[in-house]
Amino acid sequence: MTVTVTIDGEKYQARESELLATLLLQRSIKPVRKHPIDGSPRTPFCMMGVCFECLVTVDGVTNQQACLTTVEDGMVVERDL
Amino acid sequence: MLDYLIVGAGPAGLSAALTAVELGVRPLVVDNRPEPGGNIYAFLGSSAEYRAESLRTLGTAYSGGLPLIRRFLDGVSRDAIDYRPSSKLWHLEQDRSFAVSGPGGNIADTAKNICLATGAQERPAPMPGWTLPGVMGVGAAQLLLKSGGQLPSKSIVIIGNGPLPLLLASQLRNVGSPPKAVIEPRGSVRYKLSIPGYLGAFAAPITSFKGLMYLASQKLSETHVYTNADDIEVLGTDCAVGVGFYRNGKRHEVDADLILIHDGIVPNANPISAAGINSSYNAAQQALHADASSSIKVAGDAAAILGAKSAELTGRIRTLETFGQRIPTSLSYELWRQRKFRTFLDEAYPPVKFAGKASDDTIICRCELSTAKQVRNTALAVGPDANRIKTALRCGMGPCQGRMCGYSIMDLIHDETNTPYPDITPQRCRSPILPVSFGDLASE
Repeated sequence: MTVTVTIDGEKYQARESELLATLLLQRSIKPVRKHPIDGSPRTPFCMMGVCFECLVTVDGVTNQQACLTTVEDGMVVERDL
Repeated sequence: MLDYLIVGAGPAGLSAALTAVELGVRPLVVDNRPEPGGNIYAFLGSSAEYRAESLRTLGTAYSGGLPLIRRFLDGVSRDAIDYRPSSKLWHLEQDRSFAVSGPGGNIADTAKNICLATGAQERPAPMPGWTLPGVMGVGAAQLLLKSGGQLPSKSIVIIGNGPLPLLLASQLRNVGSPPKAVIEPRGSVRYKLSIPGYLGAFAAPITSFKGLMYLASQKLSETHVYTNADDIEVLGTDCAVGVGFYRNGKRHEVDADLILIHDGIVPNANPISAAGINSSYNAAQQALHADASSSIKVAGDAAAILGAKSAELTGRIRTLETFGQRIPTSLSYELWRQRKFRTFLDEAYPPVKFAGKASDDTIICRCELSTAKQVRNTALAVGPDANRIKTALRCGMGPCQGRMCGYSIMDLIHDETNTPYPDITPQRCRSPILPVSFGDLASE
């Protein structure tokens, strides 16, 4: 089963139950965010909910950890760039 | 009031939950992942259902957790376990009051008994360039494979040593993309062990034999192994393009666009610290271990790094203790055997503690961007207390709450002020343990 996820206005096909961080890494969607202090580019680092480097906006909710989020059909993701 | 709160759904939490069910207790299990398994068995249920090939790639150390996962999910479906996936424990006090937020609703209650089975994380390995896109933990790369992904590059370098990098190197060969190079930092492996260290290697013969097999297969592959590397740095400006390091005073550079770094694993200290449980510095594991006499129990790798098999045992033992049951001798014996083997691993692969060796401009706190120089100077000014350094520099106040800098700051304090580790005050974690929205706070 595949689902469609919109990331910054572009549509991506993903496997059902795939992790959002996995999708972002797999499709080389980088950086995932820019650091709020110095604007340095960041991508998922720990994949276990520890480092908070993979924060994205999911369906309008800011600062969601992509490594703990499962994709859902129709999900809208925005990067903080 | 709740009977039994279990935090974490890795081997320790799952085993604690199943033991509680046997004793007629319906536990509440809170976990931040969408499915049970912890890091070691992450996404194992969905892997077995949709990605059978990945069970072969990742081997029996991974697929061996299936019976445990299935028994747990069976308990959940029979409603014998209240399981809350994708949920956060963000508040926990010594009086055992707690708050959880998640898709299954917010809970604010007090538990008669609590078992923290919050597992382990990779010990931070700060080095120049480690915040660049293209740098991940070795454990993170494994989690990517477990979640059904492929590594986003074929040009991979591993920096680190120990069971996890060796296991990953062999798994990467299984998927047809062996790492180009493994860079072993100086001091990351010890060949001369104490007698208990050697004896430990034989206490769990099957596991240690597997370790030797990984070593051997690594030698046969096309992976180049650089030993005794110094001054390791990730190269690149907008993303990682390679690794630079020195061997015997000679500079080497290896091109790669995926750099996997590792310096062993440490207990996830935050919920333990937030609950006011004392921790002390364990010399053998060079990590903080929670006080076992606390009324809030800690099980699995959150208590001491002993691996998945031990985690299952301690999850069961802590639960039996909690509900006043006798601990069968067979359980204690098996735990003793697992500990013996760990003595060997702890001695053979000591942590490098990259922070102590980090150049002054290396970022130590990824959230607040504090550098090694800032932490060093502040440690000299305020003394061996990580909380005073936190107040001065903000390191440990970002969203990760010190998870990515706590150990590095202790290393810098130790090296800069010559304070023995047991005398250093570690960062204290406060509520919220994990970031929560105002909405969740208001609904408590």
